[in-house]
Amino acid sequence: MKQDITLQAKSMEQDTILRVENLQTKFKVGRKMVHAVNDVSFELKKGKTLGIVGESGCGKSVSAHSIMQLLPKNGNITKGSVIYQGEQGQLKLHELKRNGKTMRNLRGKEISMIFQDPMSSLNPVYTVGKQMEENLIRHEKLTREERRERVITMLRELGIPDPERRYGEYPHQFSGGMKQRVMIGTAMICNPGILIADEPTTALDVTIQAQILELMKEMQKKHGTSMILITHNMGIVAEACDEVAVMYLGKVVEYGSLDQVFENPLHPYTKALMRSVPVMGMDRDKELETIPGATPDGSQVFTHCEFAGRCACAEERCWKQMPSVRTMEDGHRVRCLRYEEG
Amino acid sequence: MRGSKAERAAKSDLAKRNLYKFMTNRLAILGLALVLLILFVSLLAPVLTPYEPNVLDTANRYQAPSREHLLGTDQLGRDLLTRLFYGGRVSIFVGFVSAVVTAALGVALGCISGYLGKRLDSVIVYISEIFMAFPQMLLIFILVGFVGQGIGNLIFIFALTGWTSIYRLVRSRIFSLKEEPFIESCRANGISNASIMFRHMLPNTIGPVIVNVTLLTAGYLLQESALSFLNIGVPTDIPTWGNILNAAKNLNVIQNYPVMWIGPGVAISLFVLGVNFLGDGLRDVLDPT
Repeated sequence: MKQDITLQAKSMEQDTILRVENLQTKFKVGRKMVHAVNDVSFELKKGKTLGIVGESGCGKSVSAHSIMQLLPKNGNITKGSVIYQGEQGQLKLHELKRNGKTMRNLRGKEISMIFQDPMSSLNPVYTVGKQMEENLIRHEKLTREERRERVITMLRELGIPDPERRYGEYPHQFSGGMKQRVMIGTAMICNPGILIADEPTTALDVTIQAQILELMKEMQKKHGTSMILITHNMGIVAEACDEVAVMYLGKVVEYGSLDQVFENPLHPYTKALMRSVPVMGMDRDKELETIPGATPDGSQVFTHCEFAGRCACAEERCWKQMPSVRTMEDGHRVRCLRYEEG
Repeated sequence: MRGSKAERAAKSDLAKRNLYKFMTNRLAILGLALVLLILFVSLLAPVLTPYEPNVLDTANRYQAPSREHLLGTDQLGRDLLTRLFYGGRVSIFVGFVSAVVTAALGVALGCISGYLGKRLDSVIVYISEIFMAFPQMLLIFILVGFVGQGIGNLIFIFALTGWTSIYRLVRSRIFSLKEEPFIESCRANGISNASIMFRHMLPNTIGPVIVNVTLLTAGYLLQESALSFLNIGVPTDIPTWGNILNAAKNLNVIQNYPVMWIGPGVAISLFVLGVNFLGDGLRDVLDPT
């Protein structure tokens, strides 16, 4: 089994740590099949940050959960591959048993995840120190004192004052921002190769958001972690990411480096997203633009461009044809008919 | 968990607050005092009385309260107070152990059923519904007929017929806990199912379970007394409060020797009252929602 999934690194470039190709995830809801993720491809480079942006319900979180094999029981990866380039070689994550030993050994040790809501991400009945230690107990062989030392060092690194005292305190004695710091610490304590942050700052207020983002960047720099940052906030993407994948209804519609996407957005959806964020120095009398309509139901099957109904530049062919991914000369990828056949 | 002073300070802080909350609850303290007093007296029975609970003294039957026999003697000349003290031991033991065994059964099944869900869950729910649909007292009568009298059998029967309430409580708690982000976070950290169930979810349900154990203790003690009164509980040669009450089945005793049934009656009532007060106090502290 181990032989089977551990392949020699061949096609994967040296600096890619995670490659997701044509990932498709379906949920069975009653009798209907909901396509939460339809076609998602991206590469995560070592030490870099990939931002996944999109509206609610576009499959950002499901993509992340698919990578971690943390989908609910009615969800399944139906197509595509997730290949993790670990220290021991390549692992095809999509083929692993979802609660099998290999997968559980990866979680928290090689791939960690932090969640949106720090207020309830900690178990109220255990001290913070004990919960941070849990990963070390699970994944590393250390004595009690060594573990304590590691946790306290981590708490100090996270900028939590008086870590010796905080180690023995309960989650209710921490503020929201502090809890999110603790979550980051818990996720980072085993030095994972990949940190997946699922809207890590959404539940926090703006000043704390900036602090947390800064902390994550700092930790990343220090430990050389690769990061997938899921957000719906374009500002956070601009602040923290090296590469951007814009998702719409389970598909990556635009993918490129931060500069490519921000300086030269190609897809109408990306453009619309950018226009709907307030910018410093903008005309205060001008109303902020919105994208008309809402994300369609995921159980709907499309034969034409999914965005056509909300797109400002939709043409007749947009209602007839399904666009495919087109790669520009500089590696900038877009899924829009306007860029097909010249 | 052990470590610096700071840790202990933080912990005792929380404990102190809870303790204060409990201590200021007068009824809870009264309940605790009652329960402790009765427990104390029962446990120290051999020191407190010179008599044996089962030694017959036919020369001194039906004696009125006197200096030698503070509550008098029963129809076989046994000292009533002594029997009350010794009876408390067995009655409380049966009540408490039954409650604990019941809770253990309910908690284990509730955790498994709530967390693993799916088919196993529906099977266990069906079983619990069958138990609930069947009149409990009748079930107990039948089971006593099958397995016979005896303390162990009684505990077995109580646990078998009573686990459903705690099972439902734990199961529903686990259901809501399952959706909590910290459980997802546990899974994202590679923690195994068994560990999530019993180390992360269970402690979050234990408050209401402890409260229920106290209330069940009172309930079982009452049931034990009722069954013993009907001669199908604890065998009559073992003194329990119910067995002492048994004497009051005789009209002569009811009319002419009220001490014989008032004594155990008051003991049962006081203990149950105490346990219920204590349980309510604990509920305020452990299960504030």
